[in-house]
Amino acid sequence: MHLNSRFLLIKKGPLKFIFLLLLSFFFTAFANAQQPSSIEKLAAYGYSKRFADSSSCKKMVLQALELAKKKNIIEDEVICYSYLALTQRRLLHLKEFTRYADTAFYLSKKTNKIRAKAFASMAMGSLKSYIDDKPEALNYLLASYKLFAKAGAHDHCAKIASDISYLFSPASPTKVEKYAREALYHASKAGDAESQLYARLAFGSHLTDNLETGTGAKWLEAVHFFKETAAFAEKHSANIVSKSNIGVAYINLADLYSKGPKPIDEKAFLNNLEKATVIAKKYNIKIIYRSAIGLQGFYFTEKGDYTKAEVLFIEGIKYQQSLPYTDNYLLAAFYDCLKDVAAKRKDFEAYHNYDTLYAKYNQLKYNESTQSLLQNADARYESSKKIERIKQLQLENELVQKNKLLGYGIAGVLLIGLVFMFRSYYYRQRYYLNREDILKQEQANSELKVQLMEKETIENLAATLSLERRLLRSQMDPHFIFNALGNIQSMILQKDTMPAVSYLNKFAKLTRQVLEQSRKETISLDEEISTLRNYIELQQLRLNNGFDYTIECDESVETDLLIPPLLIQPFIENAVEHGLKPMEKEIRGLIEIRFTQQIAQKNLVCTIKDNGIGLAASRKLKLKDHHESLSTKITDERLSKMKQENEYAGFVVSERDEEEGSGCIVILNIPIL
Amino acid sequence: MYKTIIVEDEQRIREALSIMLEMTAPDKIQIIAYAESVEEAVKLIDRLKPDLVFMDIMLKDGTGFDVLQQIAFNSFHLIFTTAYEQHAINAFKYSAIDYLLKPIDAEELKTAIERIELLKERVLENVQLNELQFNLSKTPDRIILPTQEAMYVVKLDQIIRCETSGSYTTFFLIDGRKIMVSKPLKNYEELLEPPAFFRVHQSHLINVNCIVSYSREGMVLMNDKSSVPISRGKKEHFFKLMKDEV
Repeated sequence: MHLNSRFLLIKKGPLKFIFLLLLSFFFTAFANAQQPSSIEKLAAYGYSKRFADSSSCKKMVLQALELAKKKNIIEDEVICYSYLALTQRRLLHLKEFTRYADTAFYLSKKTNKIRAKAFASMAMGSLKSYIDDKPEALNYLLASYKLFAKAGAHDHCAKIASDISYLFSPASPTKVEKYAREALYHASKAGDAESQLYARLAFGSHLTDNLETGTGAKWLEAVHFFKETAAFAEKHSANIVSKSNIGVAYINLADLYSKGPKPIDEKAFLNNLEKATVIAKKYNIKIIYRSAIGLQGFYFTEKGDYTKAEVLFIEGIKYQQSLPYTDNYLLAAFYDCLKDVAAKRKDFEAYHNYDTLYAKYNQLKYNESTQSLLQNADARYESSKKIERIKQLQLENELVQKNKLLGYGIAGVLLIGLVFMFRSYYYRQRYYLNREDILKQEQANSELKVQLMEKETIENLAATLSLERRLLRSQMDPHFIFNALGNIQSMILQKDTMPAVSYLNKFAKLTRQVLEQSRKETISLDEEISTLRNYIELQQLRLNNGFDYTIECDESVETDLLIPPLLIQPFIENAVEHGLKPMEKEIRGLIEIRFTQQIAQKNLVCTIKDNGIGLAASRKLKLKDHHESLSTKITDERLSKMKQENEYAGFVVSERDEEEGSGCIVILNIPIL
Repeated sequence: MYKTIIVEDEQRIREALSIMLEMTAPDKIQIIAYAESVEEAVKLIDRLKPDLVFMDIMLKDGTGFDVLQQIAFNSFHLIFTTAYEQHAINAFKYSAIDYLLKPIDAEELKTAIERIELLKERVLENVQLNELQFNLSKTPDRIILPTQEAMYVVKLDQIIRCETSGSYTTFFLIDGRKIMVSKPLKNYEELLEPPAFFRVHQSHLINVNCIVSYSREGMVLMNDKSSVPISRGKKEHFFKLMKDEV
């Protein structure tokens, strides 16, 4: 489409050309809306050759990549890698597909060009959908869709919206419809036949999805739509790269007729299949050819014309066997149909023969599908768990500390798992040469794989994913929140407007800080102190200003140093709830917080002193509630994790010296990051 | 006038509650004392013999439950106040004990006081207290159904189904009894949850273990020979639940 518009432009003369050039400058400068670069066009052109000549397709995209690398344009590299990934998908080379998609996605983080990011997400989405990871596929494709929409690339939008629509089926019919409609809209904006056909097929699929519950009117609508689509595809067939889509339109139309009101319109049904077959032969599209034969065979079986059906199925099998590779799934299906026909004819000898063959191919098909399940599991593991794997290693370390034997055992299982993964790949390569071997390998392999995956999901994911949420909970004690709100309510009731507003602001600020900081890896000491102040001042409000506090930093402390967020607050909470709150009213509470820095040890020492009732007295009251034990536990966990990096990390709680009076002192060693 | 004691350790929240009582029920409530700790509360309740006590759960030196264990006088209405104690809140619900969430809502406060006026006897029922103790320590397997004449303690597996009309809910029990309570079904939906219970309809909640049969069209036959409709929106969920059960 972009090529076309450029040709048009040249024809219409230089003036307009300059104008458009200026316009495009304007866009790149201000709106970040990007037109495809010349390298992208080259890659796209190469990619469009994927059906006609896959090797030259690959070559051209690789050339484009070379060019992008030479010119050192990251966004073009990303786009080329994305196209390479998609090319590999077409060739069913999962490993290369994964590698290219990963590379594209990784590189895309280094650029802020929308188009490149969109391409990378598309490649990732395509990969995820290839390996049956629907939720992830949707995430990536939706991201890509938004980006392409932003970049104004309607042709890509049309295709991605179609893919999204397919992915939402059958779980969410409203979304299927929404995205199919959006695909149509983008396709009409893009104007090219390829996108329009693609989008129309998606919308058609949405129409047929609803048929079972629908009425005759709905069926008619779908038929009408597919008729239009088929006519459209035929008319623009020269401009359509994916010729198979033309055949798909006819196949769908025929299928619709077969589902239509009984008796079905046989002529229209066969006619459309005939057309599909013609297209299949013309462009050598096997999938369409086979579907056409299969549908016809089914129809004749239903009708009771067994001879015709048998002839068709046998033709299908012959055709399949003449191809350079075997499709066990299809062969099994064809023999299954033949079996059915033989049974209906009551020809039991034929039935027996077909059944033997069916059993053979079905077994092979079954093996193949477990194989692909495993392969997809491999790929899912490979592509999405790379980051997790690092964390997993940390986890392994922890386990070693806790229980060396167990840790080694787990590492052993992991290692064996990895070895088997490699072997599974190795055998896959040899699959077509030596099928027997892999079958034996399979069983042992799958068991180990299941163990490995289970272990990973349960131990690793659960632990890492929930930590952030738990951290948030440890900071925001519901009890504290609602009591603070209760206090503010009280001020309003007593018409103390100014303090009410001021405390409300403090409360809002604290909530915001905790929400933001719990997501971060590090914050500056300044930020931590500011959060603490807000927190303590709200606590003062609750205790009716019954205590004072000081925060002091030694001169040596650089307040912009970076530390893990929100480590100190739980200790202040303890000091208030268990030290100061149960105190006699006559004594005024005091919390002193002091920071000193040990530069050489990369350690920030935080000392928290209170003059409350002290540890022993507090234990007698046994006021520990659920939240508190939770927050202590989480802080404990976090600090012991940090201990791996910095041996000083940790804390000590002790009673204050007798001479100083009662109270508690906490020395907290925080690693400086 | 109800002689009232407020047990609450945060001064401002105490003040807020008394202002709100002044606003919502000025001629019904007379605050006679405040208590900040378990010790103070026990002393004041036993000495002043109030008609009504508002009781915070978390106190300086213990909990509101400690207060209840130590008092000698217990002939008063009780309303708990709490910021957030999920565990306790559930126990309250099962024991039909009134509670208010902080910050306190004027409307809820008003309804709580109106409910007290409806009760015949101005006492904290012993049954309820025992049940509360039980429900705090264990997973509740029984529920209190408060009616005008009595507090019924009912085991959960004795309930066949509940039916609501307006703000009343009728419980149908295995022994053939019907108990009508002046609370909407919504109140009990949280206590009688799947998988044992299921709300099949706007106005019906059933015990899944008491189902005899159900039809695709959406009728459930219970073991007391009553039949209950399943609303269209609940059908899919219900069938799924039944499949999982089998």
